[in-house]
Amino acid sequence: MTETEKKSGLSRRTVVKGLGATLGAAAFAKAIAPLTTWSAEQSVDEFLQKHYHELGPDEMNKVIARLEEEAKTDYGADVTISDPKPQAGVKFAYALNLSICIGCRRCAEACHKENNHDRATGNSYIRVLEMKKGSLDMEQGRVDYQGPVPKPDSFYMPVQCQQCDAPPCVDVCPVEATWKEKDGIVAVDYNWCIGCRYCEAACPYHARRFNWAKPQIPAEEVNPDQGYLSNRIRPQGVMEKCTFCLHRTREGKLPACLEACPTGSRVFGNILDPESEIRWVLENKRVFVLKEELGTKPSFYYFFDE
Amino acid sequence: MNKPLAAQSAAAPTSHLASYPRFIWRMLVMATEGNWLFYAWMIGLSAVALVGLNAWATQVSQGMVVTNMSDHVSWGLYIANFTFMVGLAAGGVMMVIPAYLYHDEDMHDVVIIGELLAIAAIVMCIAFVVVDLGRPERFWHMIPGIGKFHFPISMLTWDVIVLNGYLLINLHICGYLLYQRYRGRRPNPKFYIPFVFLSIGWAISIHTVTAFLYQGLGGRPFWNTALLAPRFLTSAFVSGPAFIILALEAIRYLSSYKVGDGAIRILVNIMRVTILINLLMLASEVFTEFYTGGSHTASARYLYFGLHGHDALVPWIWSSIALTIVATILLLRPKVTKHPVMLITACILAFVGIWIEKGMGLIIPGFIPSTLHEIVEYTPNGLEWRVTAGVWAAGLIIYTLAIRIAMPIFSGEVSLAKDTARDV
Amino acid sequence: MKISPLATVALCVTSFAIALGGWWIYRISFAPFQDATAEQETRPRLAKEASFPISIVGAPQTPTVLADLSETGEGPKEVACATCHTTRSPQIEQRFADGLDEFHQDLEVRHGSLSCLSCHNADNYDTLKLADGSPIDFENTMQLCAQCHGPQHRDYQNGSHGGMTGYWDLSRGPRSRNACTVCHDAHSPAYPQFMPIFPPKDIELLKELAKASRSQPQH
Repeated sequence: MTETEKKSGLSRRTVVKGLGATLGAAAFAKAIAPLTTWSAEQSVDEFLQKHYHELGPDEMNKVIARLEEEAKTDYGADVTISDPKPQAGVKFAYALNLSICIGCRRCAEACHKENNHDRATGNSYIRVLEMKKGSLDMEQGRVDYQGPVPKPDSFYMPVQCQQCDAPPCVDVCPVEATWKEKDGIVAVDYNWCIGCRYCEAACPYHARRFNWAKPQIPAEEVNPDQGYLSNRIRPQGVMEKCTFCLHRTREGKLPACLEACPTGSRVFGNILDPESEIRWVLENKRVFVLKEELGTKPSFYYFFDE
Repeated sequence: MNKPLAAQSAAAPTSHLASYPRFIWRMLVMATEGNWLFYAWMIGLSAVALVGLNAWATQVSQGMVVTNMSDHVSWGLYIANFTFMVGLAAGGVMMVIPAYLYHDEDMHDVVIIGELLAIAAIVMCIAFVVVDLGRPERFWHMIPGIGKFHFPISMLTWDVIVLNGYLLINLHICGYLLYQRYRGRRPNPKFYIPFVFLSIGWAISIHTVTAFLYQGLGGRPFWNTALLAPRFLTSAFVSGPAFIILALEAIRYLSSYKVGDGAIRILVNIMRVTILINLLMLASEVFTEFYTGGSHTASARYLYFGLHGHDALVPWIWSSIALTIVATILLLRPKVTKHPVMLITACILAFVGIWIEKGMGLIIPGFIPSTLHEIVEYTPNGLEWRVTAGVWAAGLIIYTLAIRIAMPIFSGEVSLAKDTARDV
Repeated sequence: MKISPLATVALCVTSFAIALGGWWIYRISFAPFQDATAEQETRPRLAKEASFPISIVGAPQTPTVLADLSETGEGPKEVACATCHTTRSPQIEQRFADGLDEFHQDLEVRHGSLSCLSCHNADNYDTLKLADGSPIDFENTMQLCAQCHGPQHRDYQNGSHGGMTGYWDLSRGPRSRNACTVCHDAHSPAYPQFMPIFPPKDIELLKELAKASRSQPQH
């Protein structure tokens, strides 16, 4: 190969390489086009927001103001977001009387409305299993049962987050986006979660949900009374879960699912208060927890009357 | 041709400040040069990678609702591939054991190919985790110091450490060996042998830790078995050598480099043992599941025979078993090393068999039935396949380039001395 | 080569084991200890201190009957039970409404072995009566029901029957509870069967719905 040939060959090759690089860059830009429009919609403040535990009171106020504004722009709803803290001397527990639950699923619907769930998917933190009497094996249960209820040969078992004292979902989270609060609630910082869904794989109670898309709620259906760690409208791509309605229960109110229950099969209260209803149930009924053998130590108890 | 370096002295530069940029530049130049087959291959892979990138961009902007995953089957094709790729990465480096532990000269050629495979596979692992994230832009939450790194409680943080550590170790080993070869120096064992041994231990750890991700979950009985980690390792030592044999055969037929039969013979011997152990472990698992019975075995029943009329995974798992058994039979034939077609077939069958077993046969049935025993099935949709193909294409691009760069340097065809001489 | 390969491998394995061991020790000892002290440090919050009231809603009033007084030339009129019952003698033998001579025949009674006068007071039909014969106002029927339904009454008193709304923490707000007859028909008290609401949406349908709604422009 002579020097001239080498040079012309190289220059032709360089031209082809340059052309290829240009075409490649153009194709690359085209390929990530959905991403560029998406990133333009994301707020820098949200991207840089610190972990819940790192936010000072002023920063928290700013975050809440931003979230309220987002609810206005994205959903057309005037909402108030609070951040109630766990109360001293309170640890929440829940009990459910399987003898009188009739499987009406009003709790699931109340949860859907209270917690601003996506209307398109009809999401709820509660799933109600219809189980055959004589078996506690969930394999014998089904959630897509139809009426009329209660059927004489069946009992009904609503399952939601058990607010475990040894929560596997909290252990597995790689970024501490979910943790156990002092009053027993397992909370999620929706603005810190990276959406790996490891917690969803780890939970033995199917209690966690993922926001597969941005939730859709008509403005008039948005529940404006919102908590930062509970029912504020969740962003796309993060985990969420039942918080025993902490925006209500930390204000002393009962959870929405309990208020909706027509039979009173749900009992809620402070397990540290010896006079509380929940303590009476634990002391006087033969309660059990789901999947006790897994050692998750649930704060959610089930019992039968007789 | 490279102006900044043309001014260098005629003698091969001895200063690293001069020779290292030169080495990097030479690698970049080599990465964009090749024959028509190389260009066609790279353009094809780039096209697939871009299609995958586009699909992923769509997924990020519209949400993961565009995949077929659900709250019931919350991990799908991505994590399935992630699991398999960890195995490939681990399996790639295990070739180092015979080379260094037993001072087997034949294996020295293969070592760099295995280490490069590990690099490409780890990059793919990280990519598969990233495409599975709902909020990939929040990755910085995991960086210790500025984010929250839930170490040591979360096994996922262990995995982040071992995978990235493994990537760094292998980048160091490969980079160092190539650089020294390029300079025409004998690599100093002090600077790489400790890392080679570290990488052997580390290779075991990446797959063990990845298995621990799943087997530590008490709520998923299908994964909650102590056999998971050993089985991960065994299958890794099948898929790793299988891929390296395929790479070696490709190099042998598509380039002028000599690939010794000795290396392939050792790899086949490794596979003969590991594929049998893998089958033994499969038998042990199947026995435990089906002889015991009960509702803890629902996932296994679903996987192998279908449950309550749902049987989407049955064809997958039986294909996997059939492929593995045929591969075993082929590999156990004494003359398999003499028949390239038979060998390549066996390797492809074993590779695909393990891919199904670690993916559709392990990750998906862990979610079916769900923890409340609901049966919601999962089949990956077009978008998930596009993203997956894109990541594979990107991984193959990295691997091709790595081999493309490493082989001429290792054979001495490209060296600092030759480059310097040509510039003058 | 200075470093023994076995030593390197051993080092890796050992450090891995130490790290795992540390984690395990943390899990079994340190973490539960923290939780336990957190619980014991503070005095429990007692819900009944400075109590807000618990009100029972839906307790029955003394019933009236819409009487047809067209014979007298007046329109329909609410009259007390005693208006008729003082002029008629009770049919003590009757257990079911359809055996009555007139009035109330279409009333469905499915209440165990009770007969009308188990609860209704033949001496004064504007009251009910307890098992010992002492009269009791309609407003206080819970005491009447509790005579037989002791366990249910006990559970109700302890907050695990009949439901509630309002505050679990009575030091911060009131609570409202249902009377027995809000949910149970006194004459046919078994809770009726009915159609459940809010079924979980089929997963495929769910995906289609979500995709379809997302293709619409928002607001």
